[in-house]
Amino acid sequence: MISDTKTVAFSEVPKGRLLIWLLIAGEIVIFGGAIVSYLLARFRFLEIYNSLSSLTSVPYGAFNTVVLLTSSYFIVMAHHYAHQKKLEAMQLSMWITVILGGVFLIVKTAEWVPKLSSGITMGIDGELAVLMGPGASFWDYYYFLTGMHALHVILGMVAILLVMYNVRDGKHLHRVEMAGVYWHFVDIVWIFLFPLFYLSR
Amino acid sequence: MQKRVLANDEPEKAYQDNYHGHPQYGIIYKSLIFIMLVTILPDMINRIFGEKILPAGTILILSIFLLSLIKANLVLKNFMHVRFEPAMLLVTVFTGIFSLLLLFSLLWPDVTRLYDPNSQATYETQVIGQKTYIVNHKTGEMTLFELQRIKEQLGH
Repeated sequence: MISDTKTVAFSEVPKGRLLIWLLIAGEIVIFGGAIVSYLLARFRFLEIYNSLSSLTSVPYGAFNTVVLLTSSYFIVMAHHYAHQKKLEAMQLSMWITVILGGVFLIVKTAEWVPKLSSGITMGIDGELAVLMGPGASFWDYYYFLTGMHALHVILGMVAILLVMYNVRDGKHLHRVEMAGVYWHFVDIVWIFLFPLFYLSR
Repeated sequence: MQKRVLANDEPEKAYQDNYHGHPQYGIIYKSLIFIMLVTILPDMINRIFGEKILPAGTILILSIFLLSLIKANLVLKNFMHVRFEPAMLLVTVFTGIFSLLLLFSLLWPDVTRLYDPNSQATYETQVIGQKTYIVNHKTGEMTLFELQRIKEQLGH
């Protein structure tokens, strides 16, 4: 299943890859803090949050999960092709990853726009605020976390495009893996956000 | 004896030297999709056959999170190649988790009102029978929470 497996000493981990992991450590603090804060609020108003969760769309969320998982597959295949010096296949895989990232953002927009136009915003007021009570904070968390995640998807797409430009001559191919590690982290965050907002109802 | 290429001296050459292996990415990907489908299965069953065929209890929700953990583990170990990385690299990641735990341990007394148990939150929910009420401790009001009225307001 695994070919030519060799682990390396810590001192031999490339600086760039170590830096990406340090970046991920920082992102864990940001996302982890927001998610735990959401969980605390959720357990405080459990019944209301569970009810409001039913206003999110599982088909949209599930489709986005498939899109991100598929994009993760393609970026890791790009790394695999880079190792084998198959530059065209590598470029194609990276393009597919970026396109799938775009699809994710389009679906996210399609999900947000009807909600925003019907009055479900961050800081709901008026009749809806009275009806939802303290549960209105569910939408604050929803927009903050999914919005922050979407920003990271955009950053990941920009990083992959920059790396694609960088490696077009077949040099610096180790950067493909680094961009991929960041992209996989973005995927892992969504793996947790999806059940938190869409399935816990 | 062939000179070992240190990754920091020549990262490109070390990268081509195949210093870590490649799992079967296709199999991992299909496993991830399968687990995702299992995760949404209860919701799909409820939609097809009507609500509450599978009521969302604690066990079901915990199972969904367990499946998410399994998916994250698969992505971490295979796509992010953590299984080939030295353990010390994970220590750098755990500094993030450690920082988070430290932050929460410092904030926990405020969140739980540990030092002032007599203080009361403004809002609380109370479930009486099958109905959920929002209690406002400042005004003493008790409002019935109705999801249906919210849906009507949104035009669903």
